[in-house]
Amino acid sequence: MSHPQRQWNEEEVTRQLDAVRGIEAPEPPADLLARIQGEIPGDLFPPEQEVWIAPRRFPHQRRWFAAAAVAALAVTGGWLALRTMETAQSPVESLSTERPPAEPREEVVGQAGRGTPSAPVVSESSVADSPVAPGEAASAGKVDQEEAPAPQVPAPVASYRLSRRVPIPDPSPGEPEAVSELNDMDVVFALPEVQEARRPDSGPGDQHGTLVGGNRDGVAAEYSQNADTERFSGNEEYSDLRRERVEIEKKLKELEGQASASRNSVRAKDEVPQPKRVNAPPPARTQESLAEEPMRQLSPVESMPVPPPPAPPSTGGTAEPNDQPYGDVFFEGAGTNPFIDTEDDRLSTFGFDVDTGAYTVIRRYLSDGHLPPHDAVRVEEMINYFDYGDRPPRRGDFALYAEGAPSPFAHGERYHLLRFAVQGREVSAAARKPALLTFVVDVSGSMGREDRLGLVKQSLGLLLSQLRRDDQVALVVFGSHGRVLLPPTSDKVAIRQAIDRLQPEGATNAEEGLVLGYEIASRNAERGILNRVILCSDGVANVGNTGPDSILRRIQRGTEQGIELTTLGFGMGNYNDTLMEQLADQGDGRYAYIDTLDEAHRILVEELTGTLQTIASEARAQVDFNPRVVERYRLIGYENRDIADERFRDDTVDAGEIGAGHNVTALYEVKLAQGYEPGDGRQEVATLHVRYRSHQTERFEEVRRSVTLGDFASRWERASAALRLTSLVAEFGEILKGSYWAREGDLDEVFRRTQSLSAEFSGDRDVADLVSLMGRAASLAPR
Amino acid sequence: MQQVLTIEQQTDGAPRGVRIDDGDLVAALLAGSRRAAETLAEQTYRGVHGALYRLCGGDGELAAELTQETYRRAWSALESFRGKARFSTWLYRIAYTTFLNHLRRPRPFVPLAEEIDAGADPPDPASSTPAATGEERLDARRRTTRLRRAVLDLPDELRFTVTARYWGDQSARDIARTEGITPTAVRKRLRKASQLLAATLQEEAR
Repeated sequence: MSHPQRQWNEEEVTRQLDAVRGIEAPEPPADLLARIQGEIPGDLFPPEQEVWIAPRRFPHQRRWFAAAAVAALAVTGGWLALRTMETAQSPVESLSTERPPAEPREEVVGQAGRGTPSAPVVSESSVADSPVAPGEAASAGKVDQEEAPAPQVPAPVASYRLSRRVPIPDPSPGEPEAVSELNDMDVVFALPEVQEARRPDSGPGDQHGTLVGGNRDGVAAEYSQNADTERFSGNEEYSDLRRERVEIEKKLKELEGQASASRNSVRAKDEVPQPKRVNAPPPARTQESLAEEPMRQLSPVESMPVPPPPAPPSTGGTAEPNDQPYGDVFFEGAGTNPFIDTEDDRLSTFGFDVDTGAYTVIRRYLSDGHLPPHDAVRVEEMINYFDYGDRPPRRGDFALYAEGAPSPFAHGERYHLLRFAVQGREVSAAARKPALLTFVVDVSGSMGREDRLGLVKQSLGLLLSQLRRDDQVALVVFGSHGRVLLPPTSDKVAIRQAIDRLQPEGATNAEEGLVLGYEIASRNAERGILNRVILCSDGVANVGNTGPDSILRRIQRGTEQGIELTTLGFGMGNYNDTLMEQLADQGDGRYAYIDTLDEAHRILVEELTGTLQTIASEARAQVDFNPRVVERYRLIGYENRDIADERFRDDTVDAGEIGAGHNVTALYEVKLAQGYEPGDGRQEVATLHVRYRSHQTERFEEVRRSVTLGDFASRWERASAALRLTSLVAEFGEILKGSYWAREGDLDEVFRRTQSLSAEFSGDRDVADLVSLMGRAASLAPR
Repeated sequence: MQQVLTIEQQTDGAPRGVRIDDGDLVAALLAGSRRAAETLAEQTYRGVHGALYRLCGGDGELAAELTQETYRRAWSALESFRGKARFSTWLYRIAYTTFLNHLRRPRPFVPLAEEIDAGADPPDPASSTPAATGEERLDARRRTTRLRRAVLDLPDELRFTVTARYWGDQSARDIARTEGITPTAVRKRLRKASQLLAATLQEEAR
């Protein structure tokens, strides 16, 4: 070969791989789409697949199903009855059905069954969004409407639809006797439902139609949580059943995640605070509450097992958060962990997370007088926000703590809360390595709102006081274009002047800003310094390559040079939580949301060393439960940090980075087996293993600690303040998140308990803050 | 109207800069709507075809055939799609399996390796600068070919991730979701794969 061979090194491989992506495929054959579409089956879900769980095998199961079915029908029937009453009562309103078709209408398709003709369930608005001719879309919508019971209520409140896959007898109000057939029903209720609501076509300049997808994805519920207290030991088939249940629980989690994801898709297109139900014109109060009631009962998160009778929803978990107080905010939910039986899986593995962004985001919502959206809540980030007073290790990188106590929130017996804490060693400010901090500051127009930029400037000012003489700061700003405002310098006066020069301008070209920032950082990369790029932004990018991929690639290359990315989020309207978290995740750094100057102080002054000096990376935990003592367990939070059990010792797994002095706390809810009580120090409950790459030794290390029943308090009140605070914060988070497990949670109770506990944390402003925040939440929650 | 940078940005075959929320369509699809299926097919088929085109080493006809097969499988496997992953990523997974099956199946098509060396691979755009000589271009093509063969020899977990990322042009986040791991784990896999590939290819070059 005459041409000199290039070397195959990693860089070259990456370059070549990137090139593959650039290969342009030719236009596919003209008839390909038609061929594909021609092969779409008439019925995407053929009937034989309808039943995905057959509950007939076991008599006890049938009981659950019957119970669930009765409740489901009661709810549906009750609701339909309400609707009928409503119709009868409002002759004036029924006249309004004569309005022109442009008026918002409600679709109610309350029937389901094998014989039911299955009209296409494409919601009108989604069809309208898709590239289908508008005329077609309109006619499809009309068909739907004609099949539905005649719309009676002018207000376009959201409706629901029982799954067409569910063979439930038609629960029309005239047939109460349907209940008698329940015992032999195949599937009780599955409510995957497209929630359809039309926006009013009020004329030009109207907002674009978005689906109000509050609970578009439904949840099938097969057994009731209460029934679970029954034991079927001795039944050979029980283990079968249990496996099935784990499956179901997994499915539920999936569906819940799905439901959250769909909630996400509801995005207000407007910048002004939105009223509840974005698309609906303000309906009369009574109508709204009447119509919303059944919806709440059926919303995926709460309705899983037996839905409660159609009474007003209890406080908290079942409450719908205020929709979209800020325009265009983007969150992404990850569902809620299910209970897992130790006989099926005794290991629980997850990556560490020391982010605190979620807590401050929630705080921002509450202080502005809104309940946060469910997806904004990551319980572990709330838990990890607080200082529980765990002492740092005398030797080594971590000190491990574990303790348990009966749960004050659980309804079943023998439920306990088990807290694990991993406290990192501290590094004094003087002992940390010198730092090069490259700030990449968003000075786009959006940063001018709510004085976000002002907060950034003040925060940077705070940081100045913490800098050592050998630290350097560089400043890159980006508006329509990125530019270097200040090359790396240790001169505090120059830094101060540069900060003062920041002012909002133009569009948002985050890519250029980050690329410039990374250029500075990598040009100055050397061993022995902490090389950080710190992005201060509201997460909105609109110029340059706005797809996250190219930015992520740059960040990834940076981590290979030892450059870490910290993201500091500012502002709320237009805020993109997911992007900020994702960037920090890719950049091996930390994500914090700065809502107040106090928070800036906390992150940039009090925790500067921890934020900058990482002591361990790829840190993850595995808890090994003793199946004799623990019947089942549930990890609270850490949903998006899940790691496969068998990969715990696989060091290619990516997990969390932990800064100096950081604390990671994980809370489990466990159910002890019959006959085991707190107190016995010989009965091992679980062992916590922590594996991480130590920055001192540059090797992977593992530490562990086991917990016995001796580490359990006999009463919650006797548990340590740390455990009590952890569990209150967790309960608070779970209620805000709308977690199924906290569906009967009471924000008032959480508030009262935390208030009395706060005396033991006197002097801790964070806890005092938390109490007032809980008070706020309790007053905001509908009851 | 400001364009918000979201993960959803990488929409299925939609022009960049337009946000299509396929959540609505997917919900309709899961509810059994044939029209939603048609629309989703329309939005995604170019992407699937492109991925298969690259996987097949530039055989457009084969790619079209496999694309059709991919959708055929997709409709019958719709039960397994619960909206957890993005529809396009889920489709990619099926396309990938279809492609692997194609490789395993004894068929009249030219085996991958020969076909590649015959020059069916598209030119490597990174190195085909105007100044590049024919020989250089040939060399570049050979390198792409070798790389692809090496990728197909990776352990399955890595192979899927790498092809999904580069051949299928899926985002790390989406791959993470289908695989049920974190995006950083995807990144780790990619890094590990590049190391393995570099080692194998270097070895081969000697």
